[in-house]
Amino acid sequence: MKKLMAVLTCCLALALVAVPALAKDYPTKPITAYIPLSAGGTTDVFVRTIAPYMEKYLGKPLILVNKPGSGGAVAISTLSKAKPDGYTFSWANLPTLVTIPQMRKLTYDPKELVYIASPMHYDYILYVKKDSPYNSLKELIDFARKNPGAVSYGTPGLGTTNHLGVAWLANHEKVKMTPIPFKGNPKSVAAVLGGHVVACNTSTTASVSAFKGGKLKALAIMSSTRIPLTPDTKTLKEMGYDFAQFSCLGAVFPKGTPEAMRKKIEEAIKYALSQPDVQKKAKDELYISIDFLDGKKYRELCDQYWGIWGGVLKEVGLKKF
Amino acid sequence: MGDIFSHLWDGAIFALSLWNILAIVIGYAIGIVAGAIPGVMAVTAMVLILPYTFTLEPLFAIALLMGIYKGGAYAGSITATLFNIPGTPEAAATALDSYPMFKQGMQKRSLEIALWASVFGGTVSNFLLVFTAPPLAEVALRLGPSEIAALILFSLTAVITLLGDSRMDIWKGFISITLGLMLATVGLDNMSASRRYVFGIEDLDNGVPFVLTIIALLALSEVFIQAEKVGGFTLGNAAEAVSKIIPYTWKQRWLDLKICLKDLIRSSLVGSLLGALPGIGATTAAFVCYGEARRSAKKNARFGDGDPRGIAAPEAGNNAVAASSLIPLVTLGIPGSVAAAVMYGAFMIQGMIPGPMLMMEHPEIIYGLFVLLIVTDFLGAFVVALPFISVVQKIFKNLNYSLFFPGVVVCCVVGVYAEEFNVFNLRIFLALGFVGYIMRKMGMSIPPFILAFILGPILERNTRTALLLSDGSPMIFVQSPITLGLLILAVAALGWSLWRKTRGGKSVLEVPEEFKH
Repeated sequence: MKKLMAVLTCCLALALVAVPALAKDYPTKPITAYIPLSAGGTTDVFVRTIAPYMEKYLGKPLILVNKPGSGGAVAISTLSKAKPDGYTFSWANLPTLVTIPQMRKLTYDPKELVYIASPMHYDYILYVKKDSPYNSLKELIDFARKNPGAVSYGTPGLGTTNHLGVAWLANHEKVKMTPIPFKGNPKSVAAVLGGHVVACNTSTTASVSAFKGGKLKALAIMSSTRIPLTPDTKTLKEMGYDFAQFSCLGAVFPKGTPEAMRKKIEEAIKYALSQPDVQKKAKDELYISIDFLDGKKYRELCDQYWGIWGGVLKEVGLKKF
Repeated sequence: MGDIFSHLWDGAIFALSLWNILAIVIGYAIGIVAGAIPGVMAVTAMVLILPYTFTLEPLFAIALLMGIYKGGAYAGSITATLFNIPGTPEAAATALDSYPMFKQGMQKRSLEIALWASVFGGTVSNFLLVFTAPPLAEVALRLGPSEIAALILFSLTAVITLLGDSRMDIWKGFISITLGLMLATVGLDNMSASRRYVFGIEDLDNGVPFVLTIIALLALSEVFIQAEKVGGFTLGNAAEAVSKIIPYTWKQRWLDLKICLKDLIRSSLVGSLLGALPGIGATTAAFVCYGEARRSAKKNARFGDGDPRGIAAPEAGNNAVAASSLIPLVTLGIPGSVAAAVMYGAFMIQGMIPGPMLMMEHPEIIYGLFVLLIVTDFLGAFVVALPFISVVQKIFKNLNYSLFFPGVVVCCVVGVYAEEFNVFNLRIFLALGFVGYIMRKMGMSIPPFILAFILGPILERNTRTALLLSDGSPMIFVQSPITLGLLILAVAALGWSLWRKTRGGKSVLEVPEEFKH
């Protein structure tokens, strides 16, 4: 009997200890992370660059799974059905959390997710072809004012921030510019090079080669800060517009994941970003801006842009929810 | 010009290491196995391997992927020949003649014609890539949405007119194409992201997956057809099905080369041109080349009944696409095909952005890649493909079909599942397999359906983009001479074939059996 009591006490004691130990020892097994885009893109390469350092910090492997589709919504939708035990998270692009949910019905509610952190933001540039007659954003807009609808611009898809950014600009200036959705940034750049559209708003990486090859002219930086690729090109803010196109990569857990686990992954991301190796690769090879936001700031920014992008979506007639 | 040769020399010194050659051989072998297994495509293999290239040496990684790409481009013809199950969609046109030739006991001949035609087409395209990439890329860029839309419409009508000779056959082809285009509209519309024909099923939002559809219609439905035969009367094995095996002599090889040479050259050039256009792809090239070979042949040609030109033309055409689809990638930094997009990813992973800048800053890498490409075709053919087909022949000589077909089904299911790791896809797969079975039973041919399914989204996107650019005015389709010319050709091809068929009362060409499953 005594023996039994002892065993029982031990068990009870273990059970009491076990609960906090779960979070403290986290992670005890490999963690799965979805990448919402296909292998080999900027986002994918960036995630694969920081992953080894995150693994080093966490002491357990990260299993990276590419789950492209539906503008990234497939990955988030799968994640939202996963167990909130801290062993599944997904990288997420801003549109899947902010614009897509306002455009079509989804199986997840982005506001319920646990926002881990954001390691980087994307930079956007408005280009025209090198031999085009427009040398500044003002000239392009003046032309659009005199010839409504004559200025077409390529975007990587309807409702992307690339589309909405220029739509905001056109709306603000009260001119008509025609958005032409292409399948991804490279195709939209190709359409400018082939002379099929007048301008394109693209993220940096897709345009590096054509720009450095002297085939494109940068008119404006659509995002908030100047970038090393085109150091002389002014941002919209510098030109006097109170606007910047914003989209970032972040990481999210399913609803109900404990705070301690969120914190741990956040720290792992922060640790990886501090590596000189990662910073060099991001700047010199991927042309992206490392910009760490902790979970709280990341969430606030998403909430803020829910309103901003929601307003633009309404203006262009895409807001459904 | 001399510049190019010196770059090539530098590239060769830089690239031709033992490791890179080994990478090619390994890649080619993976590609052949992936391409030959119905259900696994070379691109699937490339995508699965891509993340692992993160830790490899740049040229080793790229040579490996290049080898897979080239090996896969050829290998689809192996199963197309032996079982009438094209391992890849671009081999569907090859099957039209290589399977009948196999049934006549000339399996060595049909497999070898496919191989040498692949090497020929691949090599022509490699050299075009090296010497004419910039001007070709310039031409490809000039073709805007309206031109691409017209080109696709033209290839679709060309395929209708190519299949069968009675009006009934043309109507059936037309129905096939329409069904393919309809299936292609399922899912989120690719321009405005509105839901179409998904019936509230979220799994269908991405549309019916591309690889799955092709495998279901080409492989699974053929297995059903064959299973029916096996069930009806015990069909022993491949050797029994083929009455006698006729050896392939050197004299015959020489004769075949003489017959096919004109088609080889034409198909290689056509394939290279189509490859340089973004999004057109190898399947279209194979069918256009097959159609051209058939159209230009004399009346006594045995197309559909084992004509060597019917194997050489589509194989040269679809392999010519492999290298030329890299033209937009290396000259402009724009991936023109799915495989090119994977290559783009491989460059990105290695910290290089492909495009004009890479050509200027690191010519040794781009030219090294070219040298590897040129080497791949020969090395792959002699070191990997030839031994492979002789082994395959030996295995399948004694293979029991009742064992083989379940194996095919297993491979297909694994391939379909591995693409997206989604169980729902397996249900669509089975359903489409039955659709294919019913279509074959009704005498409708599958290739036009597949071609329409592949080209449908590109046709839709380009038509809508053209109309967006013209602010809704259809005049954009008659303003450019290229668009107008292609549209006239499309209408003329259809009109001519309908007229020709009624004129004589009797068909001019013989109706091939293989179109009439």
